[in-house]
Amino acid sequence: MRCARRDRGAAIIMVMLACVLLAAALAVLVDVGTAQLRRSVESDRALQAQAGADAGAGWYRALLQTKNGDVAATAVALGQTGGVDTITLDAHTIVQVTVVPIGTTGQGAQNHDDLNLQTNKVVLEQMIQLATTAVVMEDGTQVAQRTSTTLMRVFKNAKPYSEIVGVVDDAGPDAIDSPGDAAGQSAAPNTTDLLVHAFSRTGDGPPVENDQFKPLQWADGNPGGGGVLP
Amino acid sequence: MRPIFVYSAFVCALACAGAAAPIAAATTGFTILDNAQAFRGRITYVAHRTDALPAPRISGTLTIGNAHWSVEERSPDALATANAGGGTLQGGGFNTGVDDPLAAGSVANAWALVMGTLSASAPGRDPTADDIWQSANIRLYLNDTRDAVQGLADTAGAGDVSFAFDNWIDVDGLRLPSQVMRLRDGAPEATYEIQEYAVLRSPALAATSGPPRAKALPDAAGGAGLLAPQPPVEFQQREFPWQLVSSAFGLLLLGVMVVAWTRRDAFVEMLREHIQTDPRGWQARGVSVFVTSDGRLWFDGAEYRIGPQFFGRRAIVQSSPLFLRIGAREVPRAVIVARKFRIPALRIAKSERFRSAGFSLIENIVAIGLFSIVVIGAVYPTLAVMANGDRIARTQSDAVRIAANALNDEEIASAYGAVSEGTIRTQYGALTLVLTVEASKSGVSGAYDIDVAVQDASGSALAHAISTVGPAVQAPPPPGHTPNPSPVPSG
Repeated sequence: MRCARRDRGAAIIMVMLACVLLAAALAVLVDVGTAQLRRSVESDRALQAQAGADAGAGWYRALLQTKNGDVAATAVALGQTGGVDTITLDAHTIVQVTVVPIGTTGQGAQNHDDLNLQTNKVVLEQMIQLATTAVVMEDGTQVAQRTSTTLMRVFKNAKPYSEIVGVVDDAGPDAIDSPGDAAGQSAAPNTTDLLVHAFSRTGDGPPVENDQFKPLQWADGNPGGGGVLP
Repeated sequence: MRPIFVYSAFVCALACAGAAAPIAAATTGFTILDNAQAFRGRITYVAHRTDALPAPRISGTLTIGNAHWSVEERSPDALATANAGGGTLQGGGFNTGVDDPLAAGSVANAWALVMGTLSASAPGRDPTADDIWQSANIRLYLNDTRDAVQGLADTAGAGDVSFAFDNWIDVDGLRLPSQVMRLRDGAPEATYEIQEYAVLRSPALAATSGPPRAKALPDAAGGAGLLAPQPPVEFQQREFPWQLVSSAFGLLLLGVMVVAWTRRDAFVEMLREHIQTDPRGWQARGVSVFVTSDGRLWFDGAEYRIGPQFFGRRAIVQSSPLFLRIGAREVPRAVIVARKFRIPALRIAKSERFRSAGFSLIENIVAIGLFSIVVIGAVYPTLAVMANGDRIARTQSDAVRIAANALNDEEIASAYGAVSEGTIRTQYGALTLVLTVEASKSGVSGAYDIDVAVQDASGSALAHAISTVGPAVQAPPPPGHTPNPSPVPSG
């Protein structure tokens, strides 16, 4: 009798071990079989985060327009919303975009890239950088995040009141109008490291470039070396 | 009361609650007014001034019942209330009564007062225009599409106080304004942004407003003061929650069955006593048992400790499905203990079937069934994922790539010249790209949302992203272009 009970117990344990083995094999198969699927879903979320980061700059530019390019008034308007804009993608997914203007420097006239602005002495131009962080939340869980830093020219009392010079983000270079690899940097006053042409003009004479671009060299650390800035 | 009776009473109560008091509403034919008029419950919101500083946080609550409504707005230094009889304003050590909260400007969200007023007073249409409605001392102006209220005028006093509403949003099926501007004598006085709406409906108070009635407008011309013919009264149909009730009934039935299974011996015993014929009838009188010197007895295979006072005496056990009563003629007090039941597993362990070698037919069938469930529930889906996962992933990757390209192209196209609003559908094989450019939902002027969605043949979105662009800048001149300096007026 004891032998029969022992055999039955051994059989049950063997069945349980077989189930565990089968479950482990299934887990491996599912993991391998859905690897591409997970990657494509992550790509979709990364796209949503990047779109949200871009949306932050667009939102800020629209606020600037409503305040006629007044950075201080725009900051007040931004502060009333907490600097956060929420984009609803569907019933489960939202993108929270946080916008922080940083590194505001002085403003002045006669240093404009755009000739129409340059000849308008009323216009005050200001360079600011905008750090936008987009967080994709799915059912309250953060699934993706992306931070972009946008270099922006702001023209007070002159349409279109702002213009994007370039963008870098924490995932890779994107629409950089200046050589070098500025990717992977966090938001700081000099994050974009982008240079803007400046011109001066005497009377009705032609615009004369008034910057230090030409003697500047660029290098990205690669063996091929850099060169003269364009 | 037996459980089934309790459950029946519960079901009947639910059915009566669901069928009670059909909802009658005097509809205007315009959803924005009808929904506001029929709403019963509570709405909370947060308001900020957007045209002046400081802009403290104002927390508001609108509560609407069948017989009463109230609005309460609390800021760091003031508390404003309003109801059908007027309002109060507390702050700075003063408590002031307000006859007309709209004219006094004590309440930021004028739409909350409108909803409260509509709940108590059915609106009447101005006979001269179908976009003007009057409720109590509030005159409402609908917009051209009649899906929103663009403004209201306070007709209570001599002052010219009006409000404008904008950026209507849908919150739980109720359209509410995000921006409210108060105007006095035609000039803007204060602008508020209303956010964080939360709607809590009260199903028990679901609109039971009175029947439609004719109503005279205060300044209606001539005999046209009576309302135009009202739409017929409609009864809102409420569906009985059959699914919820069925689920509850199923859970209850399952629980009863589980409990009954653990007490099946008692039921079997009851059934046996009921149907068996015992001419001696001694079981009704009890069973004589032996009690050991330490007070233990065995009855129906279970051990009980009843005390040594029954040792050496003729103890009688009377049994019921749940209790045992042990008594003896020499013992003045009987002992009643809960009846014990043998654990089925232990009974199986002692059975002959368990001691036999090999598996029984039932065990084999159960094992095969479990294995089949595992194969069908786990292995087959895994194989399906293995077979189709990469194909689905490739399709989704294509969708993401198409969406990224479309989004990037549209952002660049919207950066220069002008932003073109509209929806474009483009077919890429079995995938459909739906690109929509529209005014931003953030409500900021000059902002446009770019909504990119890639759908498969069934309409499911495989990739979806939304971005926002600001105002477009002037298109850059072509290469080699010589600029012609020309001052532009400042904006």
